[in-house]
Amino acid sequence: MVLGLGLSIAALMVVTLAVNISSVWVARHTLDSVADGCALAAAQAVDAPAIYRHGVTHVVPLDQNLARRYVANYLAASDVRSRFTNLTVRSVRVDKGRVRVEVQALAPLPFGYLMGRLRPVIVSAASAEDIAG
Amino acid sequence: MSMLKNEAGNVSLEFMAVVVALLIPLTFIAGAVSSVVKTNLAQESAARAGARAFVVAPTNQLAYLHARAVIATVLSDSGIQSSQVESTISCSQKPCFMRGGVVTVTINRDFTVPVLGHWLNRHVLVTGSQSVIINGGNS
Repeated sequence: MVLGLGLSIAALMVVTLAVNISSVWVARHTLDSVADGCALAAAQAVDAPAIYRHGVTHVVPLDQNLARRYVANYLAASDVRSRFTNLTVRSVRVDKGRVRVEVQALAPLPFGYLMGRLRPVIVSAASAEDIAG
Repeated sequence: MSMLKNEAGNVSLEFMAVVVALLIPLTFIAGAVSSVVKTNLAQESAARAGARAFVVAPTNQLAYLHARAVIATVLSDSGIQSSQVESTISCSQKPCFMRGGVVTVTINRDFTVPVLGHWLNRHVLVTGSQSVIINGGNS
């Protein structure tokens, strides 16, 4: 009886863990797509005054504030928020012509009630660059 | 405590009972979960690639053709035929190629999960989608 009970508990723990990890894995992949969409939107935030000042070079300069606004517009216009819990943009960083967007959301766990308040946060990042020519 | 001391079971019999009652069903469940996860990841990848192909196409008509071709290619890499999925491309604006418009590619599949061979097949709707903004946001 002890062996049966022990094996049952161990097997249930393994299945619980496997289902939770699969769920986090799928959510992480979906969040990668969201980060990708955010980065593509932000990469179109061309800093027009900088182009007028310095001309068009190989790398198109991007505007940080405009990039943030484009990311917000993208999240508002698309239906991605409904697919996650507490989806937020961690950062939008512009370095010359390159933008890096980090997003985060709470991981969906089918057996999350076993973990109490310890609900993991998944983070995903994507970069994009606008190249002239 | 006394119950544990007096425990006199047949180990091999208990092991067989556990294997039949628990481990075999769990193996099927693990297989079912893994196949759902696999098809979900394939559909997400296809939706992402399709949406990206759509927004970089030169014309509206070519955009649909390119997106559907890319979706079919990515799905076939994962062993999924185009006929097994229902892919829709929707735009937030008409015509699609307008500044600030959002293109959403959604791929649905009525997936049959082989829970216990062909005896207990379950149908699960697996969805993958991706939205991409066209030519900048609303400024």
